[in-house]
Amino acid sequence: MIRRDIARFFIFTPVIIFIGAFIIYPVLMLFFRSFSGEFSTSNNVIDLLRNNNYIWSVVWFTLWQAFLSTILTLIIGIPGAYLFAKYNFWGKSLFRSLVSLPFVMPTVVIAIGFISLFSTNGLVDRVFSMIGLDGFQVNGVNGLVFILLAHIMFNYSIVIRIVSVVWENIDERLLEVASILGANWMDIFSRIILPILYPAILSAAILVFMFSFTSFGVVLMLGGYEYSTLEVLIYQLTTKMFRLETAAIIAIVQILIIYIFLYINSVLQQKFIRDNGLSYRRIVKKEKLVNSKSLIVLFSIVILVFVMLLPLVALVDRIIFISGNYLESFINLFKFREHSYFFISPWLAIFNSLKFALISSFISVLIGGIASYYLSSKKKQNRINLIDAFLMLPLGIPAVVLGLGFLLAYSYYPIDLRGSWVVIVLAHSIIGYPFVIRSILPMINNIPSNLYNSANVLGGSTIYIFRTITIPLIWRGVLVGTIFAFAVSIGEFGSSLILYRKDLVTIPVAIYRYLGQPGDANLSAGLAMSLILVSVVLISFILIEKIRFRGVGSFY
Amino acid sequence: MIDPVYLIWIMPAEGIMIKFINSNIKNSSGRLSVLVDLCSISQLIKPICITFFTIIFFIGCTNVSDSTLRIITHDSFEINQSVIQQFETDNNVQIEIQKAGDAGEVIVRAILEKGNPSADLLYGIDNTFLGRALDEQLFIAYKSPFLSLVPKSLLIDSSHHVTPVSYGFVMINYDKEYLNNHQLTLPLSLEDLTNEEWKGKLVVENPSTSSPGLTFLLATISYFGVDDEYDYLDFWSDLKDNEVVVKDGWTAAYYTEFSKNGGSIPLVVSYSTSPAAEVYYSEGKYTEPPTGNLDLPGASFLQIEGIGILKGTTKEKLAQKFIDYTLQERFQEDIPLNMWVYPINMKAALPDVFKYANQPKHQVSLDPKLISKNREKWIDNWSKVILNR
Repeated sequence: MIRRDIARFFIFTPVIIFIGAFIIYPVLMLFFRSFSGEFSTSNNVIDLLRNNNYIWSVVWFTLWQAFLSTILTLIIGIPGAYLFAKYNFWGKSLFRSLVSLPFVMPTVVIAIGFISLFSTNGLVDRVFSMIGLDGFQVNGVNGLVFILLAHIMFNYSIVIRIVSVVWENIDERLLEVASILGANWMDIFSRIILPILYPAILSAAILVFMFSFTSFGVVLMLGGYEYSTLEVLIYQLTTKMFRLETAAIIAIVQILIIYIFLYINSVLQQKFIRDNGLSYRRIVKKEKLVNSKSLIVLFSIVILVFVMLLPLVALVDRIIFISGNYLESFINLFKFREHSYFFISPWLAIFNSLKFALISSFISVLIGGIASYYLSSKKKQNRINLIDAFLMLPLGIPAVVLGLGFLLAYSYYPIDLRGSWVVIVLAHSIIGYPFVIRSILPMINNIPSNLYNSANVLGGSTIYIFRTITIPLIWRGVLVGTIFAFAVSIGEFGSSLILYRKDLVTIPVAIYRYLGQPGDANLSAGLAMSLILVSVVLISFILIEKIRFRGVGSFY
Repeated sequence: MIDPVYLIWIMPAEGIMIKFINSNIKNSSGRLSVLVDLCSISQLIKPICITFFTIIFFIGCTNVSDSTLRIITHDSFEINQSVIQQFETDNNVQIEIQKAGDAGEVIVRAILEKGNPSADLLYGIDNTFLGRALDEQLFIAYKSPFLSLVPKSLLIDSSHHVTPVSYGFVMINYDKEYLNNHQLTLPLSLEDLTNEEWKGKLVVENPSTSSPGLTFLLATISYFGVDDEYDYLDFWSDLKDNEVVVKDGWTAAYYTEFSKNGGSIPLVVSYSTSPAAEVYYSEGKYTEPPTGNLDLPGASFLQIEGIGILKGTTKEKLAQKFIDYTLQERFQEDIPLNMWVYPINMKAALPDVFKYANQPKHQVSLDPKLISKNREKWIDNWSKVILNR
C-alpha cells in the first residue's frame, strides 16, 4: 500500500507543475493586474455585488439553465448510452462519432444549419411543399428553447460515451446471479446497474453542467440578447467596456460557484465507488439486433442520429442551393481569395488542426491520466475530493480570463509565447484534460482491489501491475478521454484571445474568416470548410477508437 | 470483500506469507521495497520528463528573428500577398501579421501588454475605440508626409498617434427581392422603422458584443441626441416595441437572420459596401446587387480606421516606413476588394464593382473623445432599454 502511495505522489508532480504554471499563475496574474487600480470603476466591490441586481439575475439564469440542460441531457442520454452499451449493430462506431459532431462544429455553422432547415424556402419547407402540404416554417421560437436544444445537442455525446463505456464493462455474472436469485429487471437496474453507473453518470453530469454553465457561443448566437450567462457578461465587460476590475470580480464569483458544484460532485462520486462490478473479462454476449423488439431499438437510434444530423444535412443542401454545384465549392476552396496574404490551402488548415489536436490530446491524456491515477487513491478522501474538484476547474474559468492571463504571464523573455503555436496547444489541453479525468476516474475507481492485492502478493512491481492490470481495464476510458480532448481541440472550444499567424490557421479559424464577409462565395466556402471539418473529425474519431494497447487484447 | 489476510484459514501456507509481507510493510521496515519501487517509477518518470523538456525546447524556439516587422490586427484584416511582398523586398524585412480577435479584443490586448507589445504596429483602431487608446498612450506619434493625400475631414487624430488608413460606413442594407415580393416601399427616415409596416423587419447587432452594433448605436445617438425630447433611448424603446431583432455579431445577423441568406428579416445593419461585395462574390450570378443601401438621415456612421506604432517597439523607423507605405496607392488600391472599405488616399483608384458602393449622402459621426468618455454609459443605457433591466 505504501509503495503505491509513494509512486502516486512522484508521478503526480508533473500535474502540479502543469496546473501551477499554465492555470494558476496566469489567472492570478490577470486578477492582480485587474485589481491594480488601473481599471478601477467608481463603485467598490461590495457595493457592486450588493446593488447590482442585473449581475445576480445573470447568476440565477446561468445556474438554472445549466441545471435544466444537464437534467434534460441525462434523461435523453442515458437510454442512448444503454443502446450503445448493450447492442451490436452495423455502423455502431460511425453512429457514435456522428452523435459527437455538434460538439466540434462552430456555433455559427450550427445556427446556419438551423436556419437552412426551418426558414422559408428551407429544407423542411421545400420537402413539405414537395409532398403537397402547406409550407412549414418555424418562426418566433423562444430563444431559451434554442439554448436548451443546442445544449442537449452539444452535450448528448458526453453522456453517451462516458456512461456507455462503463455500462458495457459491467460484470454480466452479477446480473445473472441476481436474476437467478429472483430479482426482476427493475431490481437489477436500480440495485446493481445504477449503483455501478453512478460515478459515470455523475462524471457526465458535471461535464454537461459546466459546459452549459460557461456556455458562450450558444447563448450569444442562439439565445438572443435577452439571455446572458456569466461567461458572456465577463466577455462584454472585458473586451467592449474595458472594465477589467468588475469582470475579475464576476469571474471570481463564477469560479467559486463552479468549485462548490465540483466539490459536491466529487464527494458524491466517492460515495458511490464500488470495489467490484467491473468485469476484467468482458463476456461478449451482446444482443444482436434481429428480433422485433430490437428493430424498434434500431429505429430509435436511426431517428436519434437523424435528428442530430439534420442541421448538417441542411448544410449540404444549402451549399447546393447557393452554388448549384456541390463539388465545385470544394474545388473553389483551393483558389478562393488566393491572392490574399491570409490565403492558405485547405490542406494546411487540415494539417494544422490535426497537428494541434493530436499534440494537445496527447498532453491532455498524459496530464489527465496521471491525475486520475493519483485521484484513485482510496486514502484521505477529503483531500482527494478537494484536489479532484480543483483539477476540474479549468472548464469553469472564463475563457477570456485564461486568454488574457496567458498574455500577461508568458510575454517576457525568455518565455515569450505570444504568437506561438505552443499557446494554442496549451490552451486546448487545459480544456481537454478534465475530460480525460472524468472518463478514466469512474473506471479506475471500479477496479476490484483484490486484483491489485493478488498481483502484489504474486510479486508484481508497481509498473508491472499498472501495465498489466490498470491500463487494460481503463483503456476504453482512456480512448473516450482522448476523443473528447481531440474534439475540444479541433473545435477550438473556449480558446479566445489567441494570436493567429497566417501559418497557424486551423479549419474553424478559416470558417470564421470566410463567414466574416458578405457574398454567396464566402458563404459556400465557409460551409464547404465546415463539411471538411465534419469529415476530418469523423475519420479521426473512428481511427482513435481503433487504437489498441499491447496487452489489452488478452482481457477483451 | 475477502482480504488476502483471511486466506490463512483456508490456505495456511500462502496466508502466512501474506501476513509476513503485510506486517513488514506496515512496520516501515520495508525501505528496501520502497527503493525497488522508486527504481521502477523512474522508468515512468523518464518519458514524462522527456515530454516536458521537449515542450520547453519548443517554447525556447519560438522567438522571432529580429528582421521581422510584426503587425497586430483584427480578424477582418485582409490584404493581397503581393502588396506585403513588395514592402518586404523593398525594405529587406519580413512581415508577420497577427490576428487577435475583433477590434475590442485587440485593444484590450494592447492595453494589457503596454510597453512590452507583441507587435510593432497596431492596424485597425477605429474612431469608436480611438479615445480610449489615446488615453492609454499606447502609441508613438508619427506624422507621415503622405498625410497630405488624405482629406482634412478624415484626419481623426490631430496628435498623430494614429494615422488614418481607410474609412467605411455602417448602414442598413435591405433585401430587394423581399421588399418587392411583399410590396414594401423603402422607409424614408429612421423614425419610419418604428412604424407598424416595419414590425419585426430589422436586425441589428448588440453594441455590447459587436463593432457594427456599437457603431449603429452611435449613429442613432448622433442623430437623436442624448438629452432631446425624443432621444436615442426613446427611439430604441420604440424599436423594441416594434420587435427589432438583436444578434450578437455581424456574421449571425447577416447569415442567419437576413432574408437574403435564408432568414426572415429584410433589413440588416451592415456596411455600405456589402451590396458591392454581394456582386463581387456571387461568381457571376448577379450583375446587379441583390441588396441595397438604405441611405436614411442619421443612419450611416462614418467609421475611420487607423494604424499606430506601438510603444516599446525596437523598429520605429521601419514601422514609420510601413505607415508611409499603407498611405500610398499600392496599398490603398488593394484595400477596397480585401477589406471592403474605402481607401483614404484621394488619388487611389476604386475598383469597378465599387460603383455599387456609393457613399451615403447623410453621414454622421461623433468626436472620438466623446465616444470614449460615454461608451460604457451609452451601452449600459441601451441594454437597460432593450433588456428591461
